Amino acid sequence: MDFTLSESWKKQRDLETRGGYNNTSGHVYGICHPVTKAEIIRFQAEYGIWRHAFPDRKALEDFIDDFVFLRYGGFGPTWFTILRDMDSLSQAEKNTHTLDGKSYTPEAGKARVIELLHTGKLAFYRTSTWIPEKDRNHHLVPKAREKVEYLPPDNKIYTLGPHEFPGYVPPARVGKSAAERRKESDKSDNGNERGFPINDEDANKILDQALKEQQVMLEAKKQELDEWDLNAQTNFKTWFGSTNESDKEIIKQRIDKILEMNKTYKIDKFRPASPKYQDAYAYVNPSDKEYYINLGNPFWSASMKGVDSQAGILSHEMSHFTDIGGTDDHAYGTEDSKELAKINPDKAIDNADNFEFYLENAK
Amino acid sequence: MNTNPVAVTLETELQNGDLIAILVFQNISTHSVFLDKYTAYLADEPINNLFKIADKNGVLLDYSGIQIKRRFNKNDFVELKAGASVKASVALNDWYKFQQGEHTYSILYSGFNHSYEKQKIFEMTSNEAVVKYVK
Repeated sequence: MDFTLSESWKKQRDLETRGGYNNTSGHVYGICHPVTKAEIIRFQAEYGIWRHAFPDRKALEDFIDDFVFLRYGGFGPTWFTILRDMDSLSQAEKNTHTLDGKSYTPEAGKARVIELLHTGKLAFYRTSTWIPEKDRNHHLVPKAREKVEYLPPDNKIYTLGPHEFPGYVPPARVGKSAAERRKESDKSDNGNERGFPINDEDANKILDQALKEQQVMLEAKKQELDEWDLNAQTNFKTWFGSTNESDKEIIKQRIDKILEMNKTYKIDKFRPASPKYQDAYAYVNPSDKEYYINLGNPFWSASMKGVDSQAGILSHEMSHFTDIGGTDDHAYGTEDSKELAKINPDKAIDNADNFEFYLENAK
Repeated sequence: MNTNPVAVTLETELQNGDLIAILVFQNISTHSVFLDKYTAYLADEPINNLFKIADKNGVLLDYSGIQIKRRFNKNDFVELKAGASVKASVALNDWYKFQQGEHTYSILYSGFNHSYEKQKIFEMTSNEAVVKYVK
């Protein structure tokens, strides 16, 4: 069962994550493979989307320049992810993150997408989602699943192009014009306003570093547990409410398992959080045997070390997996977690934030 | 001393093949309490594993929803005035992996309400409900 969006909205979101919105009109577009007429009819029924045509290449290029990518997560979409998701890359390009034998650049990715759109190998579709002016220039679409809020003002779906709603006055431009943006190097893959990594490559570097920091943090704690001096016992008691041997063993085993996971964890196990949970640090499905970790926006602006650090958040999430730690979320934040250790040590040792703060040497 | 200001009662109901847990949170204190919507199942979807559902051998069912490290804001809380109560319901079979066939389960809700301004964290635990459920 999909726990975030209904199936139809999931489909729509899938489209939207491979597209973006027009900054001027607020319409949301997805990039898809071209489809047959029969499929278009089915798409209209299922997705509420309409193919969008351009009179010429310049119109297409202008539209692309005026196109603000939705960022449902730190990973994109970028031109590269669109190409990859649309299966428009060779296997070698996918593997090496290159285009035409050269290192991938956003400019090259954009040019490739434009070419494919122009030659009809990819197509633009307008979805039934519409973004109010107040929410534009913001990489998220809050409550995007509440379809009615994002339909045009009269709640009807039109097959017309942008700006063509009867009585609909397009809002004033928000942000830079297409011409202004053209002057800059391709910033379409940027959108770093909320601490997002610029592209997959940057995201990968951040995650790689976070995993390294996590390993250092876990090994330091392991050593502290082995030494078990007064300081170690005080730390342990602060977050777990006891210093008994069985609790210590639980934490040692949990650290060992997470260390094992850390050493083999692949970057592609990280996924962007669904729109609904963008403002959370991260989440997992504890029974997921693939061990995916879904990352929200705050993760990307979290520090490398200290309380609520990236390394700590990863440990928190990994501890949830049933066969790693099976922890729950009973309490959040340092104050509530410390209080939990005092009032209910059994729950504290089972609480992911208590475990995280212990690892992070929170005070 | 137990100063938990909210009492929780749990009842179950079968509706079209779904096993529905009905939770009633009652403020038994003399002042307003601010309930975290997610802990009290007043939000759209569960994001925590707050039910302990055990088969006759005491084996707990796996939770199939998500666990989320969240940040709180005021919109996450609803005010429950002194003496007032609020009802929440959740289809347990959507979020827990029930065994095939007919089985008897014992069900308990237990959550901690997050602190809110001067209100400290407190525990909310329901009665235990026993129910037969066919999957």
